Amino acid sequence: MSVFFYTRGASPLHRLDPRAKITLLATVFAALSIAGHPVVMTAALIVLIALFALARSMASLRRMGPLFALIGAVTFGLWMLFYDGPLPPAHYAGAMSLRFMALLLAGLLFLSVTSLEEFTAGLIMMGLPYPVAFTVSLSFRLVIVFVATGHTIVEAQKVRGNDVTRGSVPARIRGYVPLLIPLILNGIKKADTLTLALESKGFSPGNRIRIGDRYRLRGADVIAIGAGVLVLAAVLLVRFGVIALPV
Amino acid sequence: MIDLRQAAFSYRSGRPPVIRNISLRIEPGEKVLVVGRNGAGKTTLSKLLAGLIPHVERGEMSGDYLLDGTSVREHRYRDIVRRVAVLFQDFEAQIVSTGVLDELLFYPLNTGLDYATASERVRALAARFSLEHLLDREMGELSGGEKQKIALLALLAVNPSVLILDEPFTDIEPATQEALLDFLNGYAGTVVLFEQVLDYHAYFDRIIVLCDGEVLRDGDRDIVADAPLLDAAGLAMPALCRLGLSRRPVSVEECASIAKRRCSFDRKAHAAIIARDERSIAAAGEPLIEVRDLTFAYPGCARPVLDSVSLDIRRGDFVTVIGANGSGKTTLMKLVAGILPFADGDILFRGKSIHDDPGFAGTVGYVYQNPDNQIFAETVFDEVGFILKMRGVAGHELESRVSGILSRMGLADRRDADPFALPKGDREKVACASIIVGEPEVIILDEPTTGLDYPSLAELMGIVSTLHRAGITILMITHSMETAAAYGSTILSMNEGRVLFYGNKREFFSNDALIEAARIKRTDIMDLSMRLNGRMLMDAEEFRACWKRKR
Repeated sequence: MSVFFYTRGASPLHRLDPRAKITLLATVFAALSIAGHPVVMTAALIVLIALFALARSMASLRRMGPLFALIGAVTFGLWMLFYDGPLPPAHYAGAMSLRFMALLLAGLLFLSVTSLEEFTAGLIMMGLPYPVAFTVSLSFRLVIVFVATGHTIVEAQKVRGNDVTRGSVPARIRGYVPLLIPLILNGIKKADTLTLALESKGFSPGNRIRIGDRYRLRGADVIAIGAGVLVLAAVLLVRFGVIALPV
Repeated sequence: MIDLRQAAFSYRSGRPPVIRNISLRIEPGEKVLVVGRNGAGKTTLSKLLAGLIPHVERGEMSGDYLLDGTSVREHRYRDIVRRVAVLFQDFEAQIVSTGVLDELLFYPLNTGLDYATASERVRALAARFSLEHLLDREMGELSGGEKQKIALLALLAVNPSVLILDEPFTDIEPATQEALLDFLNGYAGTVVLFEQVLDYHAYFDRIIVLCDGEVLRDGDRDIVADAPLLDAAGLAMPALCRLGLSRRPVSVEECASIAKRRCSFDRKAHAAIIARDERSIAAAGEPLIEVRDLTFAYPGCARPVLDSVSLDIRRGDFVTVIGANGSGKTTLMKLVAGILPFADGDILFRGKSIHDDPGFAGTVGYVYQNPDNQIFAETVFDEVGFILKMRGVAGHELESRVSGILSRMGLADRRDADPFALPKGDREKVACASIIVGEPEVIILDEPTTGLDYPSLAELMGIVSTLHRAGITILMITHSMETAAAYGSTILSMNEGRVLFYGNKREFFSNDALIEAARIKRTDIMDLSMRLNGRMLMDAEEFRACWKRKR
C-alpha cells in the first residue's frame, strides 16, 4: 500500500522515460497556464481523465476527485464575485476554475505514474545536480515515512480507546494530542538517524550516479514529448490570435 | 584488518563512555559473534567498527581504530563505506528509497558502480534468497521481515570486505535466517555479527562477550558453555549446553550420540507431558473469536494479504502465531483486534459480528512490536492510566488499578519516571501494562520479545504466562522458535495468506512437511528429541524429565 498516489503498473504512461514524463508535465503545465479559453480547458480535462483511465489510475482520481471538484467550485464562485474585467464573469470564472482543476489533475496523473526514484533519475538525467535532485526526492520520502509512522501511531492509540476517527470535532481534536508526542519524537529520531543511514550507504553530495543504462528514450517517449510540444504550440497560436476560437 | 586500541566512546562530552578499554584485532575473513545484553555497548561498538564513529556520529572518542593499518580518523568516510558495510539494529531507519529495487541499488550506485553492474548483482542476490518477487514492490508494502531482508541484501550488493550486522535476524523467519547464516559463513570478507543471544554460535569461530561497555571475554566457541561467564553477562546458555551432557558446546548429532550412551527414555514422564498437553487443550473454553471466510487486501493493492481465512479461537487459549514473512500474521491479528476495517468475510466475538458490537472496543488489547509507537505520556503512571482515563475512571480507583498493575509488572519504582527514558525491556513492559490495565479478555502481542535480552524476555514472558493462567486469552506473534516452544499450547501457522495449521503445538513441530511449508526451523532440543526416538520434546526441561541418566 502506497501512502502517496503512485502505484506500479505497465501502462504506456508508466513505461515512459522519466525525462519524457517531466517534459510532458512541464509543457502541459505551461499550456494550461497560457490557455484561457473554456473550450480548451474542457478538452484538456477530458483528455486528462482519459489518460487516467489509460494509466489504470482511476483510484487516484476517485480519491482526490471530490476535493478537486470542491476547489473548482470555490474558484468559480470567487471569480464570479470578484472578477471585474472585459469578459463575461461566467466565461472567465469557468475558464479559471477549469484551468485550476486541469493543473491539479495533470500533477496528480504525473504522481500516479512516476515513482520518486524515477522522478529523481529524470531530474539527474536532465542535468540537475545530484544533491538537488536527491533532496527533492528525500523530502517526499520523509513525508511518506512520517505519514506511515502516523498511521501506526493512530492504530496503536485506537486500541487504547483513543479513536480519532469517531466522536465530535472537539473530541477528535483532543484525541490528536496524544498522537502528536510519539509522532514528533519518532520524527526527530528518524530525521536524526537519516544522516547516519544515508552516509552509511555511501551518499555524498559529490557522488556521480551512473544510471544512464537504466533509462533509454524510445519512440513512445519522443511521441509523448512531441505531443506536449505540439499542444503548447497550438495554445500559443490561439493565445496570440493566429487561430481563433468561438467566444 | 580491524585493530581497536583502547577505544572508548561517549555520546556527550563529560558523560561516562558507553564503551571503553576496547582492544581487539579482527583478521580479514574472520567470522566474529559479539554478544551482550541490552545496554552492553553493542550498537555503539558496531558504529565504531563501521566508521560512523567518529566520522558521522557526534560524541567523544578516545583511543584509536586502525582500519587496514591506517587510523580511521585519517580515512575519508566515503572510502570506508566502500569497504565496510553496516546494518543498523533499527533497519527501517536505514531505508532511504520507496521502491525495493531502488533501495537495493542505492548503496552500490552511490559507491560508484554503474547501473548495469549494480542491477546484475542485486538481481543475482535476490534470486539466491528467492526474493525476486519483491523487486517490483514498494517498501511500504513489505512486512517487517521482508524489509529486514532487503536492508541486508542492500549491503551485500556492494560486496564489502567487512560486514557489520547489528541484530540482523530479529524479524526474519527461521528458514531464511539459516540460509543467510550459511551465506555469511562462506562469505569471503570479515563478518562481525552483534546479537543478544548465543543461538548462532555454531556459525562463528570467535565469540566476544560485551558487558557494561567492556570486553568481558574474547575467545572460541567454548564460551557458550561457561555458565558463570554467561550469568555475569546476563546471557542465556544455548539449550543443548543447558542439558549438561557435555562441558563444551556440541552439535545436535554429538549430543544425540552422548545421550544415547548415557541416558534412557522415561516413558512414564513422557506420558505425563502428553497428558498435561491434553489437559491444557481441554481447559480452553468455547470459541471466543470466530473468523469466518475472511479475505483482506490493503487499499491500492490487488494481491490479498489474507485469503478465505476461517478459524475459531477458544476462550483461555494461548495461541502462538508463526509463519514466513509476509504470510499475513500481523494483518490477521490487527483485523481480530478491530484495528483494520474489513468488508469480505466476518469476525464474530462471543457469537456476534464485531461490526455490530459497540461493546467490542477494548475487549481485545494489542501490544505493538515497537513500544515507542504507543508511549506518549510524561510519566509511567500517566501512560499506564491513559486507557482508564479514556473510560472515565478517576480518583482512588484509577490510583489503585494503575498501582496494582505497576506492582505486578515490576514497575512500581518507575511510576514517576519518563517512559521514553527507560531501557527497551521496561518500555516493552510499560506498553504491555498500558494494555493489561484495561482488563481486556484477549491480549495480542506482536513479537513482544524482539530486541529484548534474556533477563527482560524471561521477565516479560513470565508476566504473560501469569495473565494466561488468570484466564486471559493470549495470541502471540513470534519468529523465535524457542519462545514458541516454551509458551502456549496451540500453534497458528500462516502461509501466503492462508491457515497452514491450527492446532496442537507438539503435533505441528513433529510434522516435517508443515515445518518446511511454514519456513521455520525446529529448535535444537526439538531436533535432538526427534533424532533420538521420534518423540517431540519442546524444551530442556521436558528433555531432562524424559531422558534420565542411566544408573
